[in-house]
Amino acid sequence: MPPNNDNPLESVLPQEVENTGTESEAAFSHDVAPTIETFEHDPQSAGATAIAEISAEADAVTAEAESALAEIPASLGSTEEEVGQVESETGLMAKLRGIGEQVAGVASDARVKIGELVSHISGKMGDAVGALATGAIIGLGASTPNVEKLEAPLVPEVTAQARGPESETERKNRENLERQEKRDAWHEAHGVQKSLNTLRSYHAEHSFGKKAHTSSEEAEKALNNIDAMIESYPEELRKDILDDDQFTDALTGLNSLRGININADKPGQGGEIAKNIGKAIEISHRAIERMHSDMIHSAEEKLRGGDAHGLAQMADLYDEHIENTAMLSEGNDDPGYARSVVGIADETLSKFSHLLEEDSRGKDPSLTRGKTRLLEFLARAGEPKGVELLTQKIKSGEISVEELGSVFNDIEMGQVGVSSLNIVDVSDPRHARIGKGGEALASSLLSAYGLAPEEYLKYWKSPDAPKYFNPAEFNTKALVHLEERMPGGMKRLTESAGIRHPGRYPIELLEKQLKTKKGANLKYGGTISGLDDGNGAFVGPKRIEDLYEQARAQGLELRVAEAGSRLEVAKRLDEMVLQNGGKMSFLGIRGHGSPKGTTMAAGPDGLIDADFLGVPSDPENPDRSSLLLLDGAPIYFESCSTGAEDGIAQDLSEITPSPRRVTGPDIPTSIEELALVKGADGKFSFNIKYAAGQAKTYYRGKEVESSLPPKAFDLRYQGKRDK
Amino acid sequence: MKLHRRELRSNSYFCTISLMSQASEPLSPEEAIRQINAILKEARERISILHAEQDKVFEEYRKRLTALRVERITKQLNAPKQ
Repeated sequence: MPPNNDNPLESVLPQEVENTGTESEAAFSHDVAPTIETFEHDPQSAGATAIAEISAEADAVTAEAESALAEIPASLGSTEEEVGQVESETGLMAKLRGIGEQVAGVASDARVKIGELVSHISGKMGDAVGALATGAIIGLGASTPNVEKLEAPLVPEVTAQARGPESETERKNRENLERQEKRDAWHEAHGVQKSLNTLRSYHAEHSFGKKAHTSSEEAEKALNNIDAMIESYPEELRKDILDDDQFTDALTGLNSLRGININADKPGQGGEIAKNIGKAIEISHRAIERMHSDMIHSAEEKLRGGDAHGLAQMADLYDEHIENTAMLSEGNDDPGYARSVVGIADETLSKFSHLLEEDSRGKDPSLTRGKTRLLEFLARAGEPKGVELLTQKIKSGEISVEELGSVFNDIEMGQVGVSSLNIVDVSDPRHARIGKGGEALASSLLSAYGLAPEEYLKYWKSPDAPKYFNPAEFNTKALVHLEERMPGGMKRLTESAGIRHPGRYPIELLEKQLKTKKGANLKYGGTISGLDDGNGAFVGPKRIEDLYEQARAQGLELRVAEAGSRLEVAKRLDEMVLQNGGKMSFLGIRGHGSPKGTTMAAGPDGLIDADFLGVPSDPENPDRSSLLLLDGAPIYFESCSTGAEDGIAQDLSEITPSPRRVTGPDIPTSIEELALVKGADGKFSFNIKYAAGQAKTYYRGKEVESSLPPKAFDLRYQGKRDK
Repeated sequence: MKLHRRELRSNSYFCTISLMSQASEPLSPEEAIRQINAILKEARERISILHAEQDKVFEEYRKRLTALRVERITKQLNAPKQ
C-alpha cells in the first residue's frame, strides 16, 4: 500500500523522511572547498596535498554511501526482505556503483593530471611518483587511478616492457576486460541503458503515485528496444552472460514492472499499464527461455572456477521470474507463463543438483552466499536434494536458519491450489512442488531431530494466516535454536508439556523450563495454549516474551504448556503443578475463542468451557482451580469474546468456589498490551488492553473494575508486535 | 575474482606518467600550482555534483523503504483476531 495523507500511520512514522543527508553531510555542503594556497614554491608538496585532499573527499562520498546503506534501513526498522525488494526494484546498488565509479574516476583523473604537472616542473619522473605516493598515504587509500584516457598513446612495446611478461592471471584479466568492453560497447550502441532508465522511471512513477512523466508509449518503446536487444544478443557475448550486468539488470528490471499492478486499476491507465506489464513479463520470460542454456553454462564455468556467485544469480533470476509470472497469471488469468517457467526451473534444478554434487566432492566446499541462495532456491521448490542438503547444513550449524526466511514464504501446507504459485495448474506435479518447500524443509528437520513430522506439521497449518505469521517458519527456527542449545530438547518439551509450537516462546524460557528439577517449589505463573491456530494469531514469541519479562520483574518464573483437548489441558496443568512443586500465581488461557469457551484443537473434545475448570470433576478434589492456582490468583483469556456477558470468563468466576478475578475480551480481538500487577497484599492481577472492544474482569460472577487504571497505550507496540 | 578495469590498468599507470613527462616542457612552479588549484577546483565541483546525485538516490531509497514500512505496519495492525 503506498503512503497517503489519510493514513493514520503517518503519526507513528519517523519524521526524517525529508532529510536525506547523513551525519557526514556537514562535510559536503556542495559548496566547493577552497583550493591550495600554501606551498607557493613547492609544487611537489602542493601536488601531494591536492591529491590527498581530492582522494579523501572522493573516499568520503563513498563512505557516506556505505554508511547510509546501513543507517537508512536501520533507522526505519526495515526488514531484510524490504531492503532486498527496494534494492532490486530501484537498481540501487547499480546506481551507487555507477556514481562511486564516477567519483573515483574524477579523483583519479585529478591525481593523474596533478602528478603530470609535478613531474613537468621538476623534469623528473621520480617527483611525480613521490607526489602520488605521498598523496596516497595522506589520502588513506585513495582510489586507483583511472588512466583510460591516457592509455591510448602508449607505445605497446614500452608498455609490455614496463609490465614484464604477462602472467596467466593477467591474461585472463585482460580477456575479461576485452569482453566487458565489447559488452559495454554493444549495450551503448543499442541504447539499453536508456531504455532501462525509461522503464525504471515508468515503474517508479506508476508504482508510487508520483506524477507520471514517462508515458506508456515511451515505456512500450523501451520494452521493444530491450526485446530487440535480447533477440540480437551476440553469440560471442553469451559465454559469460551472467557477467553482463545490463542484461541481468534488464531481466530484473522487466520483472520489477509488476509493482505497477497496484495502480493498474486507475481509470484510463489500467489497460495500457497492464498491457505493458504483460509485455515486460513476456519479454523477460522469452529472454530467460532463450538464454537458459547459456546461463547454465556460465554458472557452471564459474562454479568450476570456485565461484558460486553465478548460481546465486541464476537462483535470483528464476525466483523473481517465477514469482512475477505467478503474479501476472493471477491478474491475467493466463497460466501459460507460469507453467512454462516451472518447466525451465525444473531443468535448472536438476542441473544445479548435479553441480552441487560435483562441488561437494571438491576441495573447497566453503559456503558462499551463492550456495546458500541456491540451496534455498532448491528447497523452496521442494527439490529433495536441496532439502536434504539444507537439513544437513542447518543441523551442522553451517547455515543459519535465519538465512532461509524466504523458503517459508510460500508455504501453504495442505492448501495446494491456494498459493500464488499453485493457482495455475495444480494437476501439474512439477508445479505443486513449488511453494511446498517450506513444508518439506520443516519436515526434514523434524525427522533429523528424531521427531515425527506429522505430529507437528498438522498443527503448523494456518491457512488464513498472512505471510508474516507463518507458524512453520517461526517453529522451525525455534526448533533449530533449541536443538542447538539442548539436543533432544524438543522431544522432551513435547512429552512433558505438550509443546508443538516452540516458535511461540523465547528459547531461554523453554531452556529454563527443561532444566527445572521436579518439585522445585517454584514461584511461577503458567499459560496453556491451544494447538490449532487457523489464522496465525498465536504465531511468534512476542506476547509470551513480554509476559515472561514482566513475570520475572515481579519475582516469578513463567511456565508454558500446550494442549489439543479438554483432557490434555487437565493433564498438562496437573503436570505443571507437580513438576514445579507448587500452585501457580496466575494462569493464561490462549486459544481461539467464543463466549462459551476456548478451542484448543479441532474435534469434539477440543473445546474447554467454564465447567472444566470450575466444577468438581473429582469428588475428592472439589475445586480444580484451587488445586492449580494459589488463592486469589487471577486467570486471563487470550481468546476472542471470552469476556462477553454470560461467557466463559464470567461463568468461571461465578462457579469457582475459591474466588478469583477472571479477565477476557468482550468481542473477537487480540491482546494489544498486558500488564502484570502485584498488589500490596502480594497477589497478582492483570490490566489488559485488547486491540478492540473491552477487557472484562469478573469476580464471583460480577463485573469488576480493574485494580489499576489501564496503562497508557504505548505506540511502540504497533511497530514491534508480530501479530 | 574478477578484477575491475581500473585495477587491471593500474600497472601501466606509472609508465604513462613517465612517457608523458618525458614528452613535455617543464613549467614554472607558480604556473604548476595555479594549474593544480584549477584541477582541484574542477574535481571538487564534479564530486559535489555526483554527491548530490547520490543524495537523490538515497532519498528515493528512504522513501521506498518508508512506503514498505507503512505497508508492513498496516498489515500488523490488521493482524488476525483470536
